[in-house]
Amino acid sequence: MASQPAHAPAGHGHAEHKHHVCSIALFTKVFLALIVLTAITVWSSRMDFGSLNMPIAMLIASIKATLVMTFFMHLKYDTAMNQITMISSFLFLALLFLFTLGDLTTRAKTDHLNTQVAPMSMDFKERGYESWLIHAVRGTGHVKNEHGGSTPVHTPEPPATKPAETKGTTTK
Amino acid sequence: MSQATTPHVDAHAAHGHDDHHAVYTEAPAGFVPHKVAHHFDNPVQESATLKFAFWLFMATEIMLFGGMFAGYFIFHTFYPETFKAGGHELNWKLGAVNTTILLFSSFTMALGVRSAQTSKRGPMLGLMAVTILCGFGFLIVKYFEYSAKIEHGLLPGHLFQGHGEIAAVPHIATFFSIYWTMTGIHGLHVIIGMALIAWAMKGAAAGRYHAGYNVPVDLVGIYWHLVDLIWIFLFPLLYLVP
Repeated sequence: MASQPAHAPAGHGHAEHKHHVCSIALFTKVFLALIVLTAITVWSSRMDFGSLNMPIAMLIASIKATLVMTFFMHLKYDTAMNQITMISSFLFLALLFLFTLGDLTTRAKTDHLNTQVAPMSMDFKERGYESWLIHAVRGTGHVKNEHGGSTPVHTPEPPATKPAETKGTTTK
Repeated sequence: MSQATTPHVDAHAAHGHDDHHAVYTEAPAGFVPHKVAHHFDNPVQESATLKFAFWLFMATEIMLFGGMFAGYFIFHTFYPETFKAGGHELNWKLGAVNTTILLFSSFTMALGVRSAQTSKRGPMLGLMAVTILCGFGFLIVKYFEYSAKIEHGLLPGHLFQGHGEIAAVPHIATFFSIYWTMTGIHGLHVIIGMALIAWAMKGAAAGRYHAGYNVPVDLVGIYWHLVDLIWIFLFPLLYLVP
């Protein structure tokens, strides 16, 4: 509450009027910037930056998201408490992504079962995981698989990468 | 502030004579003054509370979609080629059109909130109406997109009935599970957002929102911008799979 006076702009007549009113020109500039960034998103998706494709796409999207939050959502002119509330949600999200990515990118190093498979294309069955969840996720119902006809079912393919190394260890 | 308001809190503890203490905000000529709810001491406290509560809700929305985005990244890491193939099945032009529609609707909504802040009833109603129309435009494009996907059997999980080249892509049903879940829940937010804007228009038409009081318009606007915010990430991740 201590920050209340800070965002009450001087020169407004109404006592309750504590909103910062952005100019139409500012909103227009933000909108045009968002359109330009969308065009850059489409353009960059046609380029191949290799492993940087995802970081670049996410960087552009993050800039757009920041513009929307800062100006359209008025977060720039909001109270510190509300700013921290919104930012904290992204910090928690960062935790979720950090640990998930940490897990995904280090499995090959930590899991001896996985040493023969490329770290980014593991095959669950290969690694001995046979839960119903895996089948549900992969769309490989083993019951339906035997009938074949009615529902198209995908059979687990041999590991896509490093065929030479994994040849001996395929299914069953 | 808390010291200053302590006597009011005590007065309210007795209940029953709220009208004696009713606080109204100033309203410009032709607008309805806002009566501050009896459990608040003053309009500033009321709007600060509402806004804080709404930002907490926005944080939960970020977490809701954040979990789905994490799922996306996990499976994208496992099967990057599947995601590339799945993304090619989506019409990126329709996605780009919808992106533009949503960005424009966010722009009109921001201007609508501005009209509320500057007590301009006509523009406020007009801009919110345009925002709702954009919402309809988005849903119509989505309808054509979804119809094409259903027609080609590009459905989630075990419902997947696709044939031809795409059906041969391993784990492709997983991609469409993610596509339908994320765009579906986003689409639900579009519909809810449109309903909320319509509700705000009702109050705006009655003259309840003006420079002295416009929290509902403001919050509905924030919700609508969130819908835009989510789509900003969905568009490149699903339609232009990096």
